[in-house]
Amino acid sequence: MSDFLDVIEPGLFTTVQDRGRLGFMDIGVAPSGALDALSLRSANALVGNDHGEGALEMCRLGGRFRVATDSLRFAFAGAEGRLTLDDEPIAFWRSHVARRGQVIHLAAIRGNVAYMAVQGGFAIEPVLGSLSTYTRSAIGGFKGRRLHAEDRLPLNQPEANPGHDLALPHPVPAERGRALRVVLGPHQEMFTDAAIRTLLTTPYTVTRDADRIGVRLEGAALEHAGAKEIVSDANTTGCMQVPGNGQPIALMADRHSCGGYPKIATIITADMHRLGQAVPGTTLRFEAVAVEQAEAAAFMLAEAEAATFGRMRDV
Amino acid sequence: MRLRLAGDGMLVAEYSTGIDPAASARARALEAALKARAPAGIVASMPGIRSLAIIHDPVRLTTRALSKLLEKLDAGLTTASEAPSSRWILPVCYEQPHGLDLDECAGKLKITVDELIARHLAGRYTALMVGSYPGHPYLGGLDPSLYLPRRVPPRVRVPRGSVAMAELMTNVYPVEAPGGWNVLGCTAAILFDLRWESPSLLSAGDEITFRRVGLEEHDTLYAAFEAGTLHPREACR
Repeated sequence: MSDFLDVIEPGLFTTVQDRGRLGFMDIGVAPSGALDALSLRSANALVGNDHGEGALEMCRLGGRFRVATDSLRFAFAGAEGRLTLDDEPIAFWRSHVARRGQVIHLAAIRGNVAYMAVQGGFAIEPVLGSLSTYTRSAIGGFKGRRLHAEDRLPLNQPEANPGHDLALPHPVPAERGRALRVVLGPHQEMFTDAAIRTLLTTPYTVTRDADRIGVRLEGAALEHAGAKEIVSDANTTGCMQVPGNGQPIALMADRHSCGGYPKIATIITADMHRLGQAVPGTTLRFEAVAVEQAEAAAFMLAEAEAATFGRMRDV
Repeated sequence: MRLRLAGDGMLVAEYSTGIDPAASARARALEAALKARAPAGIVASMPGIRSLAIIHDPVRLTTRALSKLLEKLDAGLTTASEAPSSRWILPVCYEQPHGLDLDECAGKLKITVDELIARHLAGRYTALMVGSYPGHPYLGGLDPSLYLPRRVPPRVRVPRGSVAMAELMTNVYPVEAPGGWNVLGCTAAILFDLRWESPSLLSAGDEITFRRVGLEEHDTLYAAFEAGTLHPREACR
């Protein structure tokens, strides 16, 4: 094995993430996976990979990488930032080919996460069926941790496939600025009516503590109707748990599988990629929808994504 | 059974709001029935202390369809529906430095340390849920006379293998982790190892008892489990 992507600067928190480590909730293993799964799939589609293949997730600050293989096709998607190949600006949402020795650099990211997919993917052994990194328990990804300078990421392919590069006609619409949609519950009766009203009418700000485990929010306190704790039960990504201080925490990919705080509402599947792009200081609003509306939104997003990927063009 | 919606991607079939071994057994039986049916669109399921959680793909399996199926399966459950379970005997060393909170707990309960250990050892426990951390079991069946709340504030670091109790449950920390349970001792047994074909030693529904070991045996077992010369699947039967 002599084909690598070499890490010169790792960025702030760069990890390998894929569609997630699904199906191990019953033994306490977090799903992990991309915070913005839509952008992960876009980056993979652009280089012809399976859409859920492992890619680099860079958080807030991109990295600097040297190509240590004959040629490498790669693509960036997600929140953008100044992206260069040997100091020449190049674009997101399309693939590029780099030659041996060339340097790919992404500077500060105007959003939370950007994804870099490489054609053929990384030659990393899956753990429990996934390449995703769960740093808290050192499971999966590259050595179970975020990337460091001088890491050498092994590549499956020594050179780019022949043929043209691809571009997406436009990113799948992210509907920025719109309220995040929630389905109330699973424990809405454990909160006062005023708390439910407050959640749906007042803004919440993403705090500095936001990470891959959870997005801590700050705003008007949500009052419990009685007990402030429950006998632990299951969590899922998007659940908004409310500890005793009344400040909600939206659970993300690296969450615990269960927890003892009541969950007032759950962000719908179709809006999770938007929450994944929320940076500290972002103001969020929440809107309640029926579960049937949430399912329709998930279906429409999948349709929009397939339509967008179907219109990729040669460049 | 009460169905609780956690968004469009998880449904929780809840049998109780309290710690209830019967509710936990019913949740495991429901999971076994669901797995036998294996509808398309199920991503993961987790039997819990008092409920069964099912993560599903909202595009392939709607909440309405899954709800209907769960109601039908629940109505057809019998006591024989539960999946088979395993029995484990975990070695525990209650000596110092492992029994971090023994003295304090005995003091609060107004019993001797020996009595506390005896009552903890007498328990026949059931894994009601495995979760929060990889391989971490919530064990039901604690003697109610040992009821103590969690520690406030929680410890930042509870050592790997710590056997602890809080409220009506006892547990084992598979890895060093923050936690508020009252630590009584330490097991040498490894509960989670990615090199095993099935990485978690324990599953929900397993029956667990503890066996007291001294410091010397604890250290010997610890070294053997660490080195891989002893496997808990054989050594903890």
